[in-house]
Amino acid sequence: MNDDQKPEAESADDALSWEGDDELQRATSLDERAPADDDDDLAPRRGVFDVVREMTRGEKAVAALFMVLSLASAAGWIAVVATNPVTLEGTALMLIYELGEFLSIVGAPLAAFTAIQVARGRARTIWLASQFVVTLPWPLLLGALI
Amino acid sequence: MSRSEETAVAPETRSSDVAIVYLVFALLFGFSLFMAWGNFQGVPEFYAFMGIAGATPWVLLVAGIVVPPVLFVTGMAIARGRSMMARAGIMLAALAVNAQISLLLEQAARNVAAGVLG
Repeated sequence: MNDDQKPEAESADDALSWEGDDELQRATSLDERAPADDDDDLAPRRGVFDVVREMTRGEKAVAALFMVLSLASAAGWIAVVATNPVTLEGTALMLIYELGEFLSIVGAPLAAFTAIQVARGRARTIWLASQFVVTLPWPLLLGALI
Repeated sequence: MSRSEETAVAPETRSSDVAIVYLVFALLFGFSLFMAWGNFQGVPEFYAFMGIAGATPWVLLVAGIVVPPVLFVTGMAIARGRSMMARAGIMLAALAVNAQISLLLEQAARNVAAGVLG
């Protein structure tokens, strides 16, 4: 009885598979693995977070600190823009002026992000410190002095 | 990332693409310069009209004209030899700093006028 059923089961497997399926599957898995492997012929595609992965723990801490400080600067610039009394005649002029105000607000985080992405090592720390000083909300800080 | 490494990562950067990026930012910095030139002409007239021509903040007005081209050239110098995205990011950051300095100069000019007028 069992001997009778065995050939039927084998024939059912045969119906669902083709000669060379194993080779095809192996080739496919190799193709899928290829991009993750080192490929000297292609320039590596770098993502935004690749820079962070390459940082040491200390560099990550410094970058995170300056990102937080830049967000605090952005909050200061929001206060500056909110108290700015300037209004210009003409929609286009006002639109461009408000674009400038928006850039002022995002300037500090944008500069910090650019420094993290573009610079490396000690140069990155110097750039982060420099951009932090430059992008401080000076109108707010010097408001009482000027 | 060092400049040589970044150049190696982005061999597809073409000079025409770089020129387009710089042209767009030149227009934006140029508009800022245009606004500063308008202030340079209009603010002294306003101060004269108010009878406080002697208190015209010439230093601030001249700074407003000098800052956009200086930041544009500085941004180009920092971005030189880098990948396209890095160049655009650096120029955008320079434009943001330019906008911040413009707001600072405006507020300083307002404070000068308010101080003189009491």
